[in-house]
Amino acid sequence: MAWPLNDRQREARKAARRFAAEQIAPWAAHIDRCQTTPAEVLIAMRKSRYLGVALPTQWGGGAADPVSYGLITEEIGKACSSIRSLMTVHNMTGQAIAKLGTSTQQQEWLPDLCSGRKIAAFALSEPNVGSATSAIETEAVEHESSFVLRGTKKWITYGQVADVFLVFALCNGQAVALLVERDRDGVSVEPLTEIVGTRGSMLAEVHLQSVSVPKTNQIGPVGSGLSLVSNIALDHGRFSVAWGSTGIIHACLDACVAYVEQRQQGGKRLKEHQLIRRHVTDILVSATASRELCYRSARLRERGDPRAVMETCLAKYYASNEALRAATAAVHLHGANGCSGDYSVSRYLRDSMVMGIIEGTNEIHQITLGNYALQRSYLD
Amino acid sequence: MWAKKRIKDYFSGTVAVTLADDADIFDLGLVDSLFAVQLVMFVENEFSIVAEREDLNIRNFCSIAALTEFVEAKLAQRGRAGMVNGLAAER
Repeated sequence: MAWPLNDRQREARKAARRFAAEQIAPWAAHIDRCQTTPAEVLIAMRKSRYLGVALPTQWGGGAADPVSYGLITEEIGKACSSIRSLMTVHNMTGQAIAKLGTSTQQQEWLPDLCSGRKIAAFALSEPNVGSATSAIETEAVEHESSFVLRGTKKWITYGQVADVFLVFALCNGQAVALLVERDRDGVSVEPLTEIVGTRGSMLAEVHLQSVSVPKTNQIGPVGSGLSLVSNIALDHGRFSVAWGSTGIIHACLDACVAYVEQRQQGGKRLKEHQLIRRHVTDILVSATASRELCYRSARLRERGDPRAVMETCLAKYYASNEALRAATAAVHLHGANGCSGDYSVSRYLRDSMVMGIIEGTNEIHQITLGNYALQRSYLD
Repeated sequence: MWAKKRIKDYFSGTVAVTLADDADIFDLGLVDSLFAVQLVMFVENEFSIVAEREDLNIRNFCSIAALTEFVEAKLAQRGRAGMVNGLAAER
């Protein structure tokens, strides 16, 4: 094996696999159908300590190394992409506070985020602003010791239940990042439903109507909101989505292998049909290659190698594309059954469609990775 | 000077154009903002320094000159701290 795991990593994967199978997978269809995350699952996530698994131990987190974090994310993502998205956004905000927060902010927020007593969301996208984040329209006006926020954030994962949002706004043309508590006057949350995939991720539109936020809630200096705060968080998010996409591909593989064993057509099992084997082969190759890129990205992150940033983009781009391809093949392999809600592959297909859009669309990744190639700084 | 040379080498290997020391790579549109994260990892890895919260100002990372000044200040700070620790150990 190209990437041998140490004992800690093996144990992390084993525990996450068991947890996901027992506590998440049984709920996955319900989460998808009802477009919500039941309290039981949130409680299980809290108890598991996975919400703070990548955050520093100083605050009660697990300080998981990148490989362990990735393996845990893959297992959760294999069981349910919505719950994986909770881990993603919660950790994105947690990482930003851990890296760029003041000691007061860290003391105030990180223990509760690590324990899962409070849920954090990442509020960058807006109705008119997706990938072109420099054009954000939410405005922060300085007023004595506070900022006054006006604007709307959209597609905010777990925005329906988040206790705190990391909000990005422009202040005199410069980006700022602010922690905004849900219960501040002027904050209102509107649920978004009928999303194609990750339907249990409780998306919301967050309205900020003259919300007064103390300057002590600012994360990082003025002007570094987008370049550093959002990118540090998004880098973490892409790493998580890459592993989560790999989880979807492995879920497709397991579902297909089980189905072709038992399903009979034309007097023989599906697995005896050569074209069916081709689908299974393609999914196996996607699963293996995606995981290898995720491992490579994780190892670079472990070493603090700056190439990890672009290699994480590469892993996310590849794994999310392959998840869509694998899930499409899995649905075809299941025939009409694959189009019904009775089989999980239809959920995998819808979830995989989301993976190529979140944390930077794959079109943006094509531009970014094209530049990476042309700069010749890629790994040889 | 050695810090500047390493920084220049890194820029020439990643930005792929010859840069004046004071050229602002972000203003010139030579890189996207994601590159700032790479630069943070580069200085931490290459010079074994930790970019603290107050260091993570984009102005420290926008040009060869700014990054060199930032790194040299951090190295000097570390040197002073090492000297203080060494004296304390001797006592």
